[in-house]
Amino acid sequence: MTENRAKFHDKPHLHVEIGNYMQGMGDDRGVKNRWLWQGMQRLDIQVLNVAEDDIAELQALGVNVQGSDRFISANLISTKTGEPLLKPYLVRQIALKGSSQKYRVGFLGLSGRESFLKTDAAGYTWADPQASAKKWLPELRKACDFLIVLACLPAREAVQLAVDNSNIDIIVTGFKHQMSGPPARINQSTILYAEDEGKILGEVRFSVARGQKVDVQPFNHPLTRNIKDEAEMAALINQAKAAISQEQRALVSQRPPVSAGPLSFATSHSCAPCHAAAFEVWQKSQHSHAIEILKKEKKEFDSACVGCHVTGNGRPGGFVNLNQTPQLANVQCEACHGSGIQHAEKPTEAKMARLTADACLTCHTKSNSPEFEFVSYWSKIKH
Amino acid sequence: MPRPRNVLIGLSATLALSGFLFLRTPLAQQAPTVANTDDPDFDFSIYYTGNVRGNLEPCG
Repeated sequence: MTENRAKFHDKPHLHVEIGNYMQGMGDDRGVKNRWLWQGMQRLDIQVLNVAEDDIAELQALGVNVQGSDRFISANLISTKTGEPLLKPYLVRQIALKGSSQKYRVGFLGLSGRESFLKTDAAGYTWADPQASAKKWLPELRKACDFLIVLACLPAREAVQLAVDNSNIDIIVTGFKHQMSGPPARINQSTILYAEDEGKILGEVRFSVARGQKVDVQPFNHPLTRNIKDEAEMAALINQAKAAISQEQRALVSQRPPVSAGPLSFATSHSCAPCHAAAFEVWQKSQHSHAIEILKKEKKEFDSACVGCHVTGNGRPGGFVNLNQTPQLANVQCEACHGSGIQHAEKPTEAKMARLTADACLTCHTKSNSPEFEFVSYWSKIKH
Repeated sequence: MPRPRNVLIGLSATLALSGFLFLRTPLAQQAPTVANTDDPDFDFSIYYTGNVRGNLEPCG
């Protein structure tokens, strides 16, 4: 955004958030959200839709959500009044160059529930987003020149919004773990997808022809490592990573030790005597030092990341944390092939199953490993 | 087994109806994806992000 702003410094702009910016799970979510919020405040985001995890986590941080002029939600309902807890929509006025005209862009906020098993905290509940849209769209339509719905909804619900309402210009949508797609035109609306984990910065450019229909052009700016970090934000991120890692270590050290049970994983060194060639290939691969990659990023105690960098995470007798089960660090043979304890004891009787390309996709998901392509990746570890 | 003439008529009618419906109610269309990001001919921008989920940096 900074690069664009430098290039087009005379063009007004707004930054908006469709929701799910807060982490709703894990005992380290407090420290993560605290630092994230600090960074977000520097971005001067003008409109923030509040989604399922956001409201509770923002309140836990002490943010005055109801008193702010930036948060919206049309379907987060106060149980006391039966009305939206926050403003259902906001209108932002944009000054156009060479004109006294102010262009009014309206934003309506809607959110979906990931899990109906989650219970609402005291004081609010979530209404059906489709019904809330029907209720508030006519009022907003009269108050703005261009109407955008920030829809933190599963894709099918965003499509339903477009099908059922002819008064929405753009629906910006996205949901947890949902990959983005190309823009789509349905009924009178254009649907734009926000990439998961904020990996892509979406941009919509407006050309307002005087007295005629506005023209919009969407762009995606992938936030790859090729884009230079802004110095101040990079410094904040480094501070944050150190603080988060410190707290994660402290949390891990406070957990009660896992009682030692029967061994479930033999480790790669047990495979080496009989499978020397395969062991050598593994030793030269990134799998064999997967934990070092996390250590460089100060994420070796981050439960959101560590599962795909160790062996047997979440399985009986598998990796717990680096303090208790350091021998199961890295993506060892059994991370993919499964436990080899029985095979190590009786190699000819307890055979190991052959794997297919699907085995890689457990960790090399589109979200975590967007460049993964089986043929080229397999060639690096073929054994 | 239906007589060939009836099958052909039925198939033609189905295809004609499908084509008519497609023209009347076009399916979701893709917006043009080729555009010049350096073109300064616009009035303002709206940037958007979503589903950051507490991640200062994404995985991968």
